[in-house]
Formats: sequence, C-alpha cells, structure tokens
Amino acid sequence: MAMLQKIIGLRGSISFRALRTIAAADLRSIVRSKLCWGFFIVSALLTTLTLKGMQTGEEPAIRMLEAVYGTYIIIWMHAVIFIAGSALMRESDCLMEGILSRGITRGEYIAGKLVARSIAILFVVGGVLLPAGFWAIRQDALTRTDTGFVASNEWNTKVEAHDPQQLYSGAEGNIIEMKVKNGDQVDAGQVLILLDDRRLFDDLEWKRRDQENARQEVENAERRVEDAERAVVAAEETLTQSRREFEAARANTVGVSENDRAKLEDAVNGRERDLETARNRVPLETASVDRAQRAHDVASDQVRQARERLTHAVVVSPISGHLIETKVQSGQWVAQGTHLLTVAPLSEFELHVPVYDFEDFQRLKEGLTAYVTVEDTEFIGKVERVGATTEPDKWQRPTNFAVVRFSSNGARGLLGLGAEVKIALPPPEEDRTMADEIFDTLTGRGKDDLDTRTASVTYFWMLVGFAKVIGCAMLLVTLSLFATALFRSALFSILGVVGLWHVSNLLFDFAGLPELSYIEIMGTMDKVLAGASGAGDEIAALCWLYGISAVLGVLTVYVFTKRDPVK
Amino acid sequence: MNAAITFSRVTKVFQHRQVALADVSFEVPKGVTVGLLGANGAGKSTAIRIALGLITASAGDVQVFGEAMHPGAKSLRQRMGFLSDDPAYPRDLTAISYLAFVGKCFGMPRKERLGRMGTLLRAVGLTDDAGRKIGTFSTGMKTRLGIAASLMNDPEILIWDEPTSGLDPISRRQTLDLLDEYHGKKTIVLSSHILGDVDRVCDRLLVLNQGQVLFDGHRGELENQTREFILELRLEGAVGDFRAAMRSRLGREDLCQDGGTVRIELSGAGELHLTVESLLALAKETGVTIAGINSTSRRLEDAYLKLISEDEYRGLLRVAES
Repeated sequence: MAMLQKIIGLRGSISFRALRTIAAADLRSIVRSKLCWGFFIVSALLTTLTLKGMQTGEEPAIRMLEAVYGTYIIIWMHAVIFIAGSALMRESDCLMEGILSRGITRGEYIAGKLVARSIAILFVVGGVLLPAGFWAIRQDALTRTDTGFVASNEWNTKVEAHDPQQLYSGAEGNIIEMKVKNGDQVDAGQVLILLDDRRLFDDLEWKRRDQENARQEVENAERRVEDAERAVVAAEETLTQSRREFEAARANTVGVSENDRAKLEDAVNGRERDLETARNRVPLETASVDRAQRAHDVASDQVRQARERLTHAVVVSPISGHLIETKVQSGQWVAQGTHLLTVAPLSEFELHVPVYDFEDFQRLKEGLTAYVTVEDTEFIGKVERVGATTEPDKWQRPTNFAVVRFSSNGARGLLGLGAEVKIALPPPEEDRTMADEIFDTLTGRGKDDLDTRTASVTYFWMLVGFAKVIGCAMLLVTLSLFATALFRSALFSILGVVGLWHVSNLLFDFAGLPELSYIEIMGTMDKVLAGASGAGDEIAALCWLYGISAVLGVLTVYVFTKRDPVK
Repeated sequence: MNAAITFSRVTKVFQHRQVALADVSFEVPKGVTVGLLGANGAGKSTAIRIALGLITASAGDVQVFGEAMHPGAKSLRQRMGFLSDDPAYPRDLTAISYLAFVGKCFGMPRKERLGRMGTLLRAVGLTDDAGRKIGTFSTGMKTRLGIAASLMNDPEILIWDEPTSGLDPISRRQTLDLLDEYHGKKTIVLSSHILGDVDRVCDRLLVLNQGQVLFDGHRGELENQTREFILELRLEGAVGDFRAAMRSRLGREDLCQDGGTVRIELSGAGELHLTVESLLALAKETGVTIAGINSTSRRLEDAYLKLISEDEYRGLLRVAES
C-alpha cells in the first residue's frame, strides 16, 4: 500500500479503517438504491425466465449459461456502468463538508468508493450468475440422465481396437521364425516374422547378372555407334581425295586419257556410295543403343523388385500397439498377399454402440461426446461415425449403430471388455426465430459450435466464464469511476463509457488484444464453458482484464487526489 | 506556537479565471473566537476550505497548529470541526446514523461515539428527531445537525460558516449560547452575515473583501476607527418641513428618510449638545413635536459598512488613477 501511494504520489496515509468506513457507507447507500434493487430484481427475473424456458426445451447447460452470460455482457453491463458512474453523483453536494472534512482523505474516499462499487457489482452480478451456473449444471446432469443419452450396457458393447493394421506377406516363402505371440506389445519398426529368404537371394543374384549383361550390351552398342561415326569420317576423307584426283585429271586434258578420266569418275561415284552406306549405319547403331538401354532398365527394375521382395522376408510392425491376431505359424509356407498378423494401436479404441430407438438415432451426429465406462473406469470419447447401414447385434437383429472412439489414457487390457456407453444427445432441433438469429450474430455463435453445445460444463469452466463476465464488469466499474473523476460529470461519464464500451471491440483489436473485446468474449464463451479453450489463454485474458481494471483503479485514485473536488 | 491557523501570502485562483484569495496573510490565535466577515464572494468560504485542507492554495503556505495543511493531512483535520454554510447530507440516513458515520470517519471508538452522539443530539435539540430521516428535516434542523456533527470529535478548532442562518430565534440563541460556552476553550472561526451574532461572541474580527484582508484585529479597533455618533429623533407633525429646514439651515442630512424618524450623523460627542439645541429650536419653528430622542455611538454594522464602502471607493480611485 505504501509503495503504491509513493508511486502515485499520494500525500497522507490511506488507512484501512477509513477505507472500510467509506466503503461500508457507500455499500449501505447502494443497498438503499432503487436502481440497484431494480437491476438485481429485473436481471434475476429475466435470468430465471430464460433458464426455465431453456429447461423446458431440454437445452444443455452450455446453451443456458451462454445465453445468460451473453445477456449480462450485452445488456446488463449498461446497468453496471450506471451504478459505477453514479458513484459521485449524489456526493457532489456533501462531499467536501460531509466527508472530507471529517478526517477522511481524498485517496481514502475514492478508494472506498472503488471497493464498494466493485463489491456491489460482484454481489449483484454474482448473486444471479453463480446460482444460475450451479443450477444449470445440475439441471443439465438431470436432463442428460433422463432423456439426453443414448445408452448401451456392457453386454452388447465390447471394446474393439481402433483402426487395426492387418499385415500381409509381401513375398512368398516359408516362415522360419515368429518373433512375437498374440497379445504382445510391439513398437513401430519391430521385426515380427522372418521368412526363408534363400530363394529370394538366388533370384536377386540372377537378376543382378541379367542387369550386368544388359549393361555390357549397352556399352557394345555405344562402341558400334562410335565405329560407324568414324567410318563416316573416313568415307568423307576418301571421297574428298577421289574428287580432287578427278578434278585434276579433267583439268589436264593432254596427259590423261579419256579412259582414265572415266575410271576416276567411277571411283568418285563409288566413294559417294561408300559414304552413304557409312551414314546409314549410324542411326541403326544408335537405335541398338536405345534397345540395349531399355533392356538394362528392365533388368534394373527386376533387381529392385527382387531386392524389395527380399525385404518382405522380414515382416515389421508399422505402428506401436498390441498384436491382436496371428494367422500363421512358424514353418508355414505363405504365398504373397497372405494375411499374417493384425496389430492394433495402444491408446485408441472404439465401440460399436447399438442404437435401438430410431428417434435417438436421428439425433446422433459425429462429434457428440460419449461417456465410456469400462470396469468402473470412465473415459471420454466422441462419436466418430454413425452407421449408414444396420449391423447385427448380439441377438443377430439388424440394428442401427454408432461408432465411438475413445482414448485409453494409458490404461491396458481394455480390448474385448464390455463397456457401458452414454452418448450425450444434442437438444432436439428447434424452430429458430429472427431473435435467435440476431442473438447468434451478436454473440458470434455459429453452426460450427455443435461440439461445444453438447459438451458438459464443469464447475471449473463455469467459474472461468463467470470470471470473464465479472472481469468485464470490473473493467467498466473502474473505467466509469475514472471517467467520473476525470470529467466530474456523472452523466458525461456514463454516456461516455457506454459509447467507449461499444467501440472497445475496435480498440482492443487495434491494441492487439482482440480476446478482450466483448464480442470475442461472447463468441468464445461456448468454448470456454465446454473446456475447449486453452486454460493458459483464458488465464492470460483474465489477467489482462483484471490488470487493466487495477491500472484504471490506480489512475482513478491518482486523478481524484490531485484535483480539488467541485463544490 | 500560539497561532492555531496561519495563512502566509495565500493566493487561490480557480480554473485560471477567478481570483478568490489574493496574497492573504493572517493568524488565528489559539483559544480566540474570530469573526470572519465579508460580502458574498469575498473569499470567506475559500479561506475556510483552504484552512481545512479541502482545497489546495495556488500559492502561499497554510499551517494549522504549526504543521502544513494539505488534502492528505487527516490528522490535522481530525482536530477540527466544520459546519458548512450550506450543509448537505445523505437524505436517506437518520440523524443518529449520520452522526455515527461522522464518528466512524473520525475513528472514534464505539462507546465514545455513542456517548458523544447522545450528548450532542440533546445539546442541539434533536433528541426527539434522532430517528427521522434527514430528508424530512427543515433547514434549521439540518443546521443544528451540522452543528452536532462539527462537534462530534470534540475539535480544538471549530469553524462554523453561517451557523445561525435559517434558525428560529430560540435555536439561534441556543447556538450562540453554545458558542459562549466554548468561548476561550476552543479556537473558533465564525463566518456570518449576521453582524449582531459576530458582535456578541467574537473577540477578533477578520474582514475580507474581494479576496483581500481589509481588517484583522480586535473588535474595538474596528469600532474605534469610526468615532461618529448617531442622533435619532422621533417626530410628529410636518416632518417634511423639518427635514427641509434642517438641510437648509443646519446643513444636515437625514440618514433614515423613514416616516417620522430622523437620524443625524455627528462627528463626536462634543457636537451633541449644540446640535440638540439647534434641533429643538428648529422643531419649535416648524411646529413638529419631538416624541422621543436617542443617541448612540456607531455600531459594528456601521463600522463594517464604512470599511467596505471606503475600500470600494479606494478601488474606484485606483481605477481612475490608472
């Protein structure tokens, strides 16, 4: 306290006794205030009517509390602003003479007011919301037990493995070793079966030889191409020489006979044919290289396949889990594609829940919460899918069903055990009015809230939601008193804070704290109540709300003590 | 330290617009009853509120019992009692619960608080109305309740602003008797427009006008500044002729101009004998009958009014000179 006084530069001490006296006097005046009683009675009445109406419609607690909290944030916060903003309204006349001259400091006075208004709001708001919260949760439990569940007992519902992995043989051969037995726990990558791989090795060796032959053939073909290209060059040179000799003979008409010239011309024609022949050989040899390359590729592919088949001689587990099925035994010859083993995940299980009531079946949706009890241990699961066709039940009757998936949380030995299952059903489809649409738009509630709407509300998360509403109220109490101390006009302060409250969404967005805007608070209230929101995020938001309120409270004391009161 | 309250060159400017006190210095000695006089807006209430630490001075020092007074000096304020000129109360509280609240504000123990409440309610004549809501009280009852509240902590300094306004004659007398009772035992600052009350109970006077101290001293000092006498005649007959003759032949003005009464200002007691003779002669000549004759020295009211009018006249002169 002393340090706070030093920080805000207060002169004189703030004694707890004086603060308590002022707070108690202000609380008494609030208790006598018709405005406060009106606020309390009307809000309590409307809240009761809302809850009773929703109870009739078998609405879950999350819907009830979302509606009530939303109403408080949208509507009743105006009354909070009025109660807080009017704190100094009736004191303006008797403030100086009546109180400050009686040994009370300004700091004690305004701090007492802050405390009193905060306590009053806490009681007026909490006095309705807390009983409403506990009632809604209690009512929710009753409703769900009576009519809100699809139930299945341990006789007709057995725990099954979720997404079991069936392992097939990738190669044929004799099983030379089974490394695991049925029921063993296996890790991903663990060796389960060894097949006899000698034949596979031989096959691989043959394929490798074929690949080597093919590679040599490619090299031979490439060499032949080079020979053909060299022959073309040689033919071109010979042709050039023949043409040169022929041209010389034709130019020298005296020493060369006509016969010799004809021979030289024939020789030129013969070299031209040789060159043509050499050129025609080049593409033929090039084509033989392509053929040899293709043969080499085929051989390489066969080597790869042979090597892969060899790897299939060792059967490994693709996931961590339990070996729930063994179809082969050691020494047995298996063909490629034979079902060897089945491995199920360690932590995920599923249940096929028969649903006999057709109306209940219509209300089933994916994502609904299911409460699974196996041997007195409860697990929380979700409906993963709803059967499109019927399945035979224990008595071979065709029955609708839902598949529930749940996590064992490390518990072992669940497979095959009987389970009691309760699936929380959503409320029946309602006829939506325009008011519902408007409310949903204002609160940001959307069609995608199915998960949270049907979830159970725990006391902890109900209190978190309540704390957020109270946090908003505290923010408005301190803001209203700060505005009153600053502007010295109750009316200006009340109207100003109402306006500020409604643009605060934009301000918080700009400030990078969108989670503090009341639209966001209302929009995410269902997730908070359902416990779907992160506890860390919610605690951070609460710290921001109450922290800003505390800072505003300190500023209020500072502003009030630094300025002379108005007469 | 003999001064209960000390103002040293105190100035108070409101909102940078209105100068309520301008460089005011004075002392209120311990155990003395001081009458604080001044016209409306003279700065009396501002001075009182600064003395109580309810508002802060723009400049200068204020000390109470030798310690600096400021809004946080609650220990000093707990030794002071204050009655406002326009006391306002929570309307929903009863008189007894209001006094209990005041006692709690002062930090009085419960037993002491209850005992004090009973005594004070009886002293101000509100015992029968102690359970009534303050909202139903008359102005006089509220003032009496304010007096009780100001005495709740048995203060060493009592500051009362217009304590007798709105009171019936009996209550007024009781209030003044109460002040008489505390006379000399407590330091009392009494601000009032009723100069008769001030005249009756105050030892010293402090006259403020337009934010400045016009007079600070004993009552006798103020009265001695005006040595004039007033001669008052009650006449029957042609009073108008008498006044006209008095003006033309004796050069004297009637101060009263009210029916059969004529008031004449004399500069001193020595003038009285001659003037009476002249007036008797004049009455004989004009045929009026003197039904009564009375002479008094200047009263406090006259001295006060003269002081104020002289200050305003000096102010006008200063304006003309500037």
